[in-house]
Amino acid sequence: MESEEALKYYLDEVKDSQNDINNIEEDIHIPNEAEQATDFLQNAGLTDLSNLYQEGKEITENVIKDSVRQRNLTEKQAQTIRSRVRTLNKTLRSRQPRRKQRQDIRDVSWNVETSSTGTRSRSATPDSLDSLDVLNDELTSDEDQQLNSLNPFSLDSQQPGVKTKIKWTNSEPWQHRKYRGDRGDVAHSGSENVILKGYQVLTENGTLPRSTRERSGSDPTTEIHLQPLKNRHSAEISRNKLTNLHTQLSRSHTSISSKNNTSSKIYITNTETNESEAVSFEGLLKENEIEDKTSISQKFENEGVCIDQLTDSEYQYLKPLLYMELVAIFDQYKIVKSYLKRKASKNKGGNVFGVNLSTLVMRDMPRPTDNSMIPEIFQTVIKELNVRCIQEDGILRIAGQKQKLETLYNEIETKFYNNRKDVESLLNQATVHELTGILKKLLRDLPDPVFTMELFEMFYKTSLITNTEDKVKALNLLVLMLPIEHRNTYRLLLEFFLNVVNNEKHNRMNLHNVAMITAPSLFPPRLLLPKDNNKLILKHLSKEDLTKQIKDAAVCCCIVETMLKAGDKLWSVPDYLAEQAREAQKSAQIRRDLSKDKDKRIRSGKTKLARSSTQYESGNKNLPRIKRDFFI
Amino acid sequence: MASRKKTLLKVIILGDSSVGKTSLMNQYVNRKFSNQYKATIGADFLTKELTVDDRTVTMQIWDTAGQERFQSLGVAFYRGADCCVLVFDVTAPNTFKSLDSWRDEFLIQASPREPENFPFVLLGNKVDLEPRAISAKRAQQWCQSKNNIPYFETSAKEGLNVEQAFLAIAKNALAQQNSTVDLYNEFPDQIKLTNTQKTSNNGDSCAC
Repeated sequence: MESEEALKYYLDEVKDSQNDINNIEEDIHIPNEAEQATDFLQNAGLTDLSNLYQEGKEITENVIKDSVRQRNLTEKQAQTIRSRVRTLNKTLRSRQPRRKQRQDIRDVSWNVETSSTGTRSRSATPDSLDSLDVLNDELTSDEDQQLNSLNPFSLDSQQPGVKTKIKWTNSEPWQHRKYRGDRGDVAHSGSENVILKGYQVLTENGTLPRSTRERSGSDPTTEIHLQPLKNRHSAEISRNKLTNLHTQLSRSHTSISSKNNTSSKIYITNTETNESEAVSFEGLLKENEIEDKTSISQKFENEGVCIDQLTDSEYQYLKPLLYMELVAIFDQYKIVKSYLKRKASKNKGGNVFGVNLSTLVMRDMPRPTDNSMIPEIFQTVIKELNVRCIQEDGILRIAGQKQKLETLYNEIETKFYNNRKDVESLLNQATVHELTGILKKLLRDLPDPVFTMELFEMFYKTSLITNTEDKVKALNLLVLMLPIEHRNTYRLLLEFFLNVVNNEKHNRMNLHNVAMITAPSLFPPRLLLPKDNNKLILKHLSKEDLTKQIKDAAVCCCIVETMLKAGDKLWSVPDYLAEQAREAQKSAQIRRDLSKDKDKRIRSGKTKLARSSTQYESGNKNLPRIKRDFFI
Repeated sequence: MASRKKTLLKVIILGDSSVGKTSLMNQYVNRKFSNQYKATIGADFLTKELTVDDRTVTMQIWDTAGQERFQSLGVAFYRGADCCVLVFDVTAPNTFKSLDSWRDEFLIQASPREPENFPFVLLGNKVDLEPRAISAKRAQQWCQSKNNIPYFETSAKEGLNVEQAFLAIAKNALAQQNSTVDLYNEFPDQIKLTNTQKTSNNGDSCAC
């Protein structure tokens, strides 16, 4: 009889597991690079940038610099943003080949070319107008992109006549004029090659003659714009280069400029040398990374703020930062975030088992005993374990008796919310192994695992990080990113596990054992398999699948082990991130206050002036800026 | 008979955690015992060559994690097994009580062609330890109720009875492989007994 019951139980279990498999909802749409990049920007709280992209506008270096400065981001974070923005810009360019005056790589190169021929034939054609056109061309395109970064005079001084002129001058006439210029030098430049060489030399040095001409130009605007233009020009040059090169360029820019603040001119020459010796370039990067790491880890270990010490609103601002940091680490190890998006599973309709942590917390609400955001059932079981039997031999490893456990599950399921005393006395009488059995079942039955469907994949992928320190850092960031119910529950669990490990002498459960036993509860195996395999699992399994599964199990075990070793470190926010978050929260507060004022001012029509005047003082990072409130 | 090709026998060890599955396997294959308390990850197997009735066979012994569930792993290694070894700890009554579940789980997961005739072997491990909670008599009774499963009392620590137990396991596995060829008359074929009224009931409920 007994065995028949057990058999029935097993059949149910098998059915359940099959249902589990079918219930896993997956969105197998794998987004392209651009979508991934937008996804990143949105997650990182840089919606202003992703909005620009969605409006079909390129994101210029200036905009990036702006938002980096505003948020007080580190160079490493800025780098991560840049690499994503580059993808977006590239997509944009391929999507809309020269529309209107929008920035296009070809337009830019034409302009430079004309200006170069212009210098040559300066005496022949009075080309002050040429340079002006180039100038305005850049201005208008920047205007498009930068929206808010207008200076007060550009609106007033830019004559509508000039603007229309630009629209008339497309690439055709330039080419024509170029030929004319060349015709004067026919004796020197017979072939295309010669012209090209000359063009290159001139662009490198081209800044100087151009700026002098700008000054001598008849239009007063040129002089006013001289300063910003110079910066733009250097940015333009870098953009002229192939995107491939460009990547290296800005990368090496950080590696070098972070060490010694060299001028932009020097960094350009440096790129060229790096380009030829890829190895040394990589070496430089690595050196830099190592420096970075040590400095971070020192901060990380010595200081750090416990996550509990941050207010809710500060945490709101911390989250995008955490995400950015994490992606930076993943980038470093060339780990690609998988975009197998799984929707958070719904509750299975039980009372206690198979119910999401957030729902459990909500159910506790009518009689809240504390505000820890940890479901009471977890608290009760773990407390019981901690108090009574932490020294029991083989705690967590040894299984309870199945039939007894079944009845316990049922009692808890039906009585936990209406007959708490009964349940408590039951738990009081339960053996250690039954209690751990309950705990493990609670964890395994969670529709949304402790590490959440959203972050699960990322947790798993930290195993690809080879450097332990970085791995701990990534896990630290991930843990901080968990929703509060999950984070706090996991914290309670981890503390309990560590307590078990600390009693190793008595219970023989060392760190490795605890990690191995708890890993499958924290990383449900059903989530580690691709959907196809899941369907096949009950019919056929190849040897490769088996090895993969064993490998997965080992990997999960290692991750849990790393987290156990990291212990308390997991809950502390690196100081610089906490600082950034606080800063962002404060300035957002000020901005919000100001925007209330602004609303009033809009009605009185003074906004334009106010906006542009703040723009000029942007050097001061603490200054409130009246831009869109990007976080909200 | 001896001219036959090498035979590979797949043997699976099941039982609750910390009953000594890994230790038994290690004792048999490597003749070593470690006092280390170490949980098994997923599953692992060792192979050992032995001669059974003038025949060389390679026994592939699969050690499994006793944790209730590395569940998804289960199916993969239960499949194609020639014999299933159930292990319990004679000092821990709970491990004896879960034997039924382990046996049923195996039958469901591996779904052998003739579940009622599939060879199991029961090992009561840790007989060197005191106090004993499960008597030999009780274990034997259980075995009889399950179509006369062979029962051995072993100690992986002392190496007691381990060799004999695994030899019987190999013989049972071989018999399963050659169940159509009646070559091994001398082999006590308690598994093939026709008195299967009770177990066939079990088998039926398995299949549904």
